[in-house]
Amino acid sequence: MMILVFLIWALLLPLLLGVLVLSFIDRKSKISFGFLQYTSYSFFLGTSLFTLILFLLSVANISWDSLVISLLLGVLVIGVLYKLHRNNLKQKINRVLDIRVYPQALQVIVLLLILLKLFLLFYLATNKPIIDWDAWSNWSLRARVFYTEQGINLDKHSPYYLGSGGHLDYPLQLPILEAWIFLVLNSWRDDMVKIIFPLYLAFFSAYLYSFLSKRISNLQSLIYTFIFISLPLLSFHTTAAYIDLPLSLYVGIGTMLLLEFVETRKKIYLFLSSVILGCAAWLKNEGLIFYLIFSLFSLVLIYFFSKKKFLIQIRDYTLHIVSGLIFVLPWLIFKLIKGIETSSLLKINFADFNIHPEILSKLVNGIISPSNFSLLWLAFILSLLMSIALRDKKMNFTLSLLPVLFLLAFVLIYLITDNYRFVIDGTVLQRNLLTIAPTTFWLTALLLGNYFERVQK
Amino acid sequence: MDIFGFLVPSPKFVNGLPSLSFLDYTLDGLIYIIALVPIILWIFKFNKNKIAQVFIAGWFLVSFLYLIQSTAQAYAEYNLLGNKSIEELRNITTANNFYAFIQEAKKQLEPDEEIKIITPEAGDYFERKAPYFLYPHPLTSNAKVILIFNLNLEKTKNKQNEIKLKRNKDNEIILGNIESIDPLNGGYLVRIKK
Repeated sequence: MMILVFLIWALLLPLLLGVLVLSFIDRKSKISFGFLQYTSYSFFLGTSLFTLILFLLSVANISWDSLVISLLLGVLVIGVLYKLHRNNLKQKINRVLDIRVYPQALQVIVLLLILLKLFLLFYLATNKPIIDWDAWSNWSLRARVFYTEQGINLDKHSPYYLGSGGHLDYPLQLPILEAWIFLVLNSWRDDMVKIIFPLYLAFFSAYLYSFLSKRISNLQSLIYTFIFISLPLLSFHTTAAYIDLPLSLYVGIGTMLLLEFVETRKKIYLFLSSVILGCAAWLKNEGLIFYLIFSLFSLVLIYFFSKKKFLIQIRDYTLHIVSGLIFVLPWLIFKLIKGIETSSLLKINFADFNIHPEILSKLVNGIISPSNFSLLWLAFILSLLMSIALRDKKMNFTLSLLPVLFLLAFVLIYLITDNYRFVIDGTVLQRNLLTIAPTTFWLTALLLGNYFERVQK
Repeated sequence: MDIFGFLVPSPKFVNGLPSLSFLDYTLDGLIYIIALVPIILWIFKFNKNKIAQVFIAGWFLVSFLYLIQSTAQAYAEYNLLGNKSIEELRNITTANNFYAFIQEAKKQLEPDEEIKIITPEAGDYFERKAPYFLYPHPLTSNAKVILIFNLNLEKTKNKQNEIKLKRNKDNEIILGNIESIDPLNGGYLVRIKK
């Protein structure tokens, strides 16, 4: 029982930190998030920020003492939250509890299915220790080292430098977060630590539901949320403790916020989108690709929908687009200073340059194999075809370019870099496709949802 | 063809865990059928909105079947893993009692002692997983303490204090200047004279 209390405390702290930061942002520029979106975004932001702080503490040679950090941050977070909300906290709690629209029976059934699926994923994740190869060989080994040494091993001569694991260039959010949980639990519980993954999924599902229900019916939003958490590869990754699940969910939230920005033209959503995609680069090197594509895509979008001169637009929006660099730069600068390879992802072997078209058949297999993504890719293509057939010019159709661009970026990397080897041996393809899946899913849900809605009317 | 075969689970074991893939093939077939439906409806010029509705209903059905599969998986894992300690769980989920072997060896090691591990095949699962369990012991290629897992030792004819062992896909490995050999459950702990 006590272990559960400590586990909740370990995860509550990053969440509260996220809520605190979001409250500050919300105070300056009003964000129209519902409760679910607010909490979910806070968790994603909070875990990244919290681990970044721990990373910087370690670089500054300050040991992570769980009790001291917990107390300091706890007092800080609770104090400032109280200050921020002392006037309207009661009002807000009443608003959350005041459910005027009682759900219909069918909605309740689908909601129960979602809860059952999440419960099963929580169970299947935490009922066993980490057993999947990359999870123990890289992420969790590093977490174990950081936990035991109460900080990041910065001794270049140690075999456990930066936690070891064979990929020193990989960012540290996940190992630090796992180490933090070990520290609070005060034991190496590599079963309980996996709670992170279904928790990320649960928060994302709440965000997805809230996001969809603003645009399509409640019932449909619930159905899509259920279908989403049932995608087979996603379920596997929820229990496997790889970084790719959180990465894909961060990218999913980032792209949803981009649609909010396009719909409302409020710069704050562009800022939030940039921040969360910046966090993605603090999760895994692939996050950089998403961040770069997001930045360029945002500029193009702004150019087309703004009536001002392009240079003025750039002046107006650049700060919002580059805000994600807060999360991108510390790790990149650290790697440059320490002489660690920036990223093996983009390494082109110019001396022996070859294009590798053999990966394309693997790619097609990965996409059409139903035991990975069920009907997702077919649904995406179908929804696009229907949009074209019905001359739908909605912005979510324009944003459908995003998963295509993400996919093309990966294909380009596979074609011209050494990473093609990992496609051939089946190591990276499925997990890279997974990182695109949430974005593809919400776009598909919105496009298909619109047609479903028309039938209802 | 056994259409209802998926109702009779016959779990295979992967990494010591039941792998209930008995629904996968049935579901894959169903998914292909559902994928064909909108294409056929499109060809016969059905209303696009109706196509969307039918398609989503089919997708929901597949998702529901995946939920049943997850339930069966959770049930099978509960039977195997429920109410076990973390040490027992690590042992069950690591093949060939490798975790128990490491734990037994660790009792005889000095803190932070450098170790080399020799497993049935160079770079295999056990060799790669060793640092995860052996940390904080550094793993180096020239350590004087050698853990030998799942391999048979033979004394060589030539010299005393010398042993040989044979790995898969590898030449014989000869270890000389042996100080001691301690048999463990699943292997040996060999110390070389410093």
